[in-house]
Amino acid sequence: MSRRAAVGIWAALAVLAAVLVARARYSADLSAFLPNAPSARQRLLVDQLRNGLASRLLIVAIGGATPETRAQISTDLRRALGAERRFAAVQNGSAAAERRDGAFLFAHRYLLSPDVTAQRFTTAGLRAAIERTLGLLAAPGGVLAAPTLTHDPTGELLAVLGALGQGQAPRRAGGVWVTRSGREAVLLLRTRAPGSNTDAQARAIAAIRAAFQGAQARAHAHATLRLTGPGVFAVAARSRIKREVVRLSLLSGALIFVLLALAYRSLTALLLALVPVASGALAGIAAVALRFGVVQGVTLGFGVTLIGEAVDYSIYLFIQSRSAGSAGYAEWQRSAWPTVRLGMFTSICGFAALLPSAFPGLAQLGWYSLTGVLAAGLVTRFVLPQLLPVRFTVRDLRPLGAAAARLLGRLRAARLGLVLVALGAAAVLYGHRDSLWNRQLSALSPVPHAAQRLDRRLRAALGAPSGRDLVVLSAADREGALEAAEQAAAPLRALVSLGVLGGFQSPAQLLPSRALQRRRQRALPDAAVLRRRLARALRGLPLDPASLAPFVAAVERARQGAPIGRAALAGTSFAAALDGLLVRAGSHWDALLPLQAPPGGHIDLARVRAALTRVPPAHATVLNLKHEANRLYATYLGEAVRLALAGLAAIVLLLLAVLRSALRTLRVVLPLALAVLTVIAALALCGVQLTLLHVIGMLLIVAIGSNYALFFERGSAEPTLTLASLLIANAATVLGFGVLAASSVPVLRDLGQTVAPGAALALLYAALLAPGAPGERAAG
Amino acid sequence: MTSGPIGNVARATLAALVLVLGSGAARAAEAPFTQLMALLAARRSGTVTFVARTYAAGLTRPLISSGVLRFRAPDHLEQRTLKPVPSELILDGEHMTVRRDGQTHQLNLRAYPNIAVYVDALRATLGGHGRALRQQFAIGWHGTVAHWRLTLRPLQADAHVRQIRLAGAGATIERIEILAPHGARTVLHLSDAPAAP
Repeated sequence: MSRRAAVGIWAALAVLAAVLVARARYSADLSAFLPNAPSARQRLLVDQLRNGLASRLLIVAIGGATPETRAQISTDLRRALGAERRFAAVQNGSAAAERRDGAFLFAHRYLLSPDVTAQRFTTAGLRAAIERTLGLLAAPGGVLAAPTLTHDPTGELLAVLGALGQGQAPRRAGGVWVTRSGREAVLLLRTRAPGSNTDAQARAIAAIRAAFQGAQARAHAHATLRLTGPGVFAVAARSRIKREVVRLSLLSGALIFVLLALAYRSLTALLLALVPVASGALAGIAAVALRFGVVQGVTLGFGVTLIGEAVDYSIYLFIQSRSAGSAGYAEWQRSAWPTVRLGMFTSICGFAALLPSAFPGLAQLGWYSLTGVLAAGLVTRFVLPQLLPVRFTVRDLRPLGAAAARLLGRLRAARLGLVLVALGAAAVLYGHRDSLWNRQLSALSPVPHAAQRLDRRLRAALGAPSGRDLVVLSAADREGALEAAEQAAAPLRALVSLGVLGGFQSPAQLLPSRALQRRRQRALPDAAVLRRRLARALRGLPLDPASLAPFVAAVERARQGAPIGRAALAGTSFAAALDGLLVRAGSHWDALLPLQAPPGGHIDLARVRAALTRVPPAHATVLNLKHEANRLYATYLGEAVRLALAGLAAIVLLLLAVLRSALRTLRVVLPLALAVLTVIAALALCGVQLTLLHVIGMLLIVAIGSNYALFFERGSAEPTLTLASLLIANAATVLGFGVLAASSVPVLRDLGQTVAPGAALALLYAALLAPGAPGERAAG
Repeated sequence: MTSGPIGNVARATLAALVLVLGSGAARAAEAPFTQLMALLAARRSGTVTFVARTYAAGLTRPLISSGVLRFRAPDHLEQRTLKPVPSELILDGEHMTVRRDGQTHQLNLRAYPNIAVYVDALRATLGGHGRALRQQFAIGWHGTVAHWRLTLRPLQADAHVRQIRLAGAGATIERIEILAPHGARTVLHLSDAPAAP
């Protein structure tokens, strides 16, 4: 290829890539941590996590100041935010809201009450219900229900409230909800946008903060505001990932810059070293944008690792070329390039193994690194030499290589000690075999523990649904889903009375299906019949039949009125709750029934499943979201292990094919395997549990470390220089990953803490296990 | 009744006294209330029987129930209805247990502001916490420490409880009346419990 052609093609591609990079969509939300879900149940799970009712919940806690001021700010916030369309519901436990909710339940009690049956409105049924109501009236505090006696002598409102499970109501002080300690006022907000819409969540949070500032100013007080909820987590994680990616890239870039400056002592060399790195990064991002449509923020974070790998190629070129300019390059191309090329292909094998991963973050990492490394390698081979100035040369690093060789020579005497290292590591792993893996999806969550604790505390205070255990009933339409929920109610109630469940919520409690509303209407007698039955039922009871005219009128209204629909719930807190429990899912509708655990216990989901199999004809799915998420994660952990093994196998096959010797291949792979073993054992000793990212890290140790091992295995014409270049290249890689290890984002940290020590050990072990002492073996 | 000159003098003297002391009347009313609270605070616990009559629109005669009311400082209160239908309301701090129809509900008092008003009034009175009463209620005082009547009107505007009236003699509470909207009310007459409940 002519000199001009190579540079021309490179420049054109670089411009194209730059355009793609500039126009790409970037996302720093949490979706990189949520796997693509293949099965219907997993899709349901991921959809719940991303878009479900629980994902739209924001909890606001107001602390500081006085209880009265907190209540005032809470009321002010409710008014201000309730007027904003972005919130489907803003609740703070105010009496006005309670009254609206109570008025809805009271107005429609005969359509909502599970006790409305024909039997209840017979003479005997009426008498039993009224006797019970009178008994409650005489009980402590019962007099407070007395004003509704003549409207609701059968206690239908109580039946409705009982079905709704009002036992979990939050505490109140000063007319608003407060936390258990009473030191914070709390509000429960539900956004219209799903939790996965991070931009909308960020705007909602900004609106809350602005409203709080206003309320605080009006109250002339200084209070504190704390927020929690999936949206808050997503927004915080996004800004954290953004911050970290920028910080880590700058930091590792600066460190590698300093390293190379020390090594080369030449600005030209430094700038030239950037060419393959920048080309690789551009190509990687452009390739990800082309293939995935969206570039994940974490991919760019992982991309730091690419800097460490791509910079190696120019290091090899510059340091290993003994003569100045293109003459030195031609020689390097002959003697060293085949080794670099093979190393590049082993790296590519490793990265390619990640491509089929169901974790979008991993697949992107694989694709980004693969294309980046390829681009960096090609640019080093074809473009960089054309850019070298005629008399270009870097500082002679032979002294460094010689010093390292001497040190290694001494260490080689003790290389049998590596057997002990291997045995020790194996023993450690055996000892930790039960606690080696972290099987929780939350291990990958970038949400700090303190934030998770605050979230649990505020949720507990509000009795907000944890959304963990769910029955999902699917049907072709809304009414079908509601009817399915109604059919599931009886077996679920039976489980409640058996103590298997603490309770459950159902959309049908807020809005019964039309069919059930009609059945309840048909169960109501007409006014004349009701009056006759009442007269008989009340004989001997201290209740005047004539005083029950409001009751008779209410029953008649309910009997003749139209069934209620979604619109009847407008203005109540039930509207938002219903929208969360009755959702359209593509072409069908899902009724979601959150389950409550019995006091101090766990739900035996197998029994719930068994009880629901008898419910025709709806398709019922019983989910524990955390459980399912962890199971899904375990699937992907298994997948990662398989992918890593596949990558390893591909690398071994490639080496076998090129080296044409099992022994030589073993010599390359052995130090790498030993490095992986040592690193895992060290992590286990430090109490770190392995996650999916550690597995990927192990694969990268092999992919990157193979470069070093190959140089030792194949030898070189100038071993001292080669050793020096490997040291510098290794230092660059260790710096890049070492910076990642300091990240507060778990996925980045896990990868960094595996690869940084692994790469260093891979070089050390490869040097120690090389067939001859460094510098002894001639070019292969 | 004789209404001789002595009687007239006595009345005039009384009138003069009232004029002289008039400016201090409000403070004078505080003193017995504070005394009563001190008296009640000294009684750390007590058990009484009650007979409750509930009146409401539509009822041809009051509903009568009876049972035991028990208090132990600082915050244990239980009202056990024995007749006609057994039910229990037990409070320890903010923890509320309701037993009725063979079912037990563990609830938080603060989630039920209306019952909380009643419970707060009763516990603060029985414990002699005058300041706590003043924080939640407008207090009306009638009579003397030996024969007193208290009316407690919730300061919270939206309370369902309109008023709670208590009457007693010294540290003994004899009557509790809870007024709900629309004329509904419950009157509890208390008397010393038999030795064994």
